Amino acid sequence: MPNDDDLFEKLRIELRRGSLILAVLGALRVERYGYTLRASLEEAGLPIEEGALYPLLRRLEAQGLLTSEWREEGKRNKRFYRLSADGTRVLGQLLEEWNSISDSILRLTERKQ
Amino acid sequence: MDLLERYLAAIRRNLPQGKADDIVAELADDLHSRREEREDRLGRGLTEDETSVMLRDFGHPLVIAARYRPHQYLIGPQTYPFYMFTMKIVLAVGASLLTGLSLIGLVLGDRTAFQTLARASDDLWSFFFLAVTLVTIVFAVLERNHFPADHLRRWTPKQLPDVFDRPKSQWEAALEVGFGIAFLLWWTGFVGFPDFGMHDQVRIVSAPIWTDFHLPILLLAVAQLALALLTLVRPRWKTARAILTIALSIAALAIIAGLYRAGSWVIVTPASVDAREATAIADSLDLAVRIALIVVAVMMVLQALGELWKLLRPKLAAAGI
Repeated sequence: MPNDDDLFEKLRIELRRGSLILAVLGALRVERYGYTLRASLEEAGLPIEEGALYPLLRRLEAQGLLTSEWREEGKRNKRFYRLSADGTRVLGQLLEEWNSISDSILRLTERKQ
Repeated sequence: MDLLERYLAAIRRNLPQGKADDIVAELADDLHSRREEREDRLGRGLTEDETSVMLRDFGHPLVIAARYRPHQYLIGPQTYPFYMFTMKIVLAVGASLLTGLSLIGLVLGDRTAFQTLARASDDLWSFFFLAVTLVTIVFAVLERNHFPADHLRRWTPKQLPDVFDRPKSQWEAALEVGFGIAFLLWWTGFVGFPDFGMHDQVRIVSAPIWTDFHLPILLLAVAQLALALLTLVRPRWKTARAILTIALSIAALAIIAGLYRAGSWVIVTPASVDAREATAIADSLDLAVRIALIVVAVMMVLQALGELWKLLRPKLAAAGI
């Protein structure tokens, strides 16, 4: 049986996994390339697993939520991502959902026994 | 070659063709940026060990490459319950058939218990690996063809059997399907039953009556298999099942009557025994077939009456009888 720390870590990862998409979409309201996006997520307290960010960005781009283009910066070619028009709309809906979930959790957990 | 280049080459080998250059270029930029940041912090170049730690933190090349593929699992969580259910049935039915054949071989043949056990365990292992492989391949293909999503969308609780009816269990129906398939494979000559011995004493072949009834028995077996499959996938279709069962029981009785009239069902030719012994063996086998035909005929009558009762019972109850 997993100990309490293992169990907490597993549940924490599950909890964060769903919110990462929201965080990525939110961070890409400003154009960024992968490395700076990862750094900004980490700085905001949402580090993403090494190597998982780029496949996620490609998936979101394939779903039409992001656009990307290759440009040269700092003597190297970098792929810049930003939110598409669809992505902006979906982000708004997801944020509403997020706030609704957050309110529900607060109501459930703060209820007097 | 630089460790980083080797790492990227290892990822590239496992990426989908056509996207590899683009993906590797992006990963290369990230890893170079990461290395430069660390070098700036240290004020010197990274050693090979430090680069190794950085790449190890990034992830195994196979895992990194796999994340770019649409399917990252062979059988997903939605398909898994169906996969396990099918696997259990296939293994249980197959193991029952093989064990049954081994026991028949032990009773009729000239093998010792040890030889039977050795042969049976060999057959069971071969069957186990073949069945696991085939079922896994079939479900991996179904997984990629949206089977669980389609099935779960079409499924309704109305298909569930009634609780008060004691329906045929799925195991029972699955066993019937298994035996039905095994019988058809044997009847059509695709597989032969194990050699039960006695071939050095007598030669036993079926009488011409079996050739005359080959096609009717084949059709009956196909219909029985279809009925068993119907029971397995549509346990709620009770009326259709009852009517079909009655029709098939009547067809089976007609075939049994035709077979019974022949009076002799095996031809025994002596090899190392004399003609009298061969005749005695033939008589014993004919008696066994005669008893089997009578037993099956009685079972068919009871089965037809049982299904008829199931059909009429609600109507009689409604009429207050």
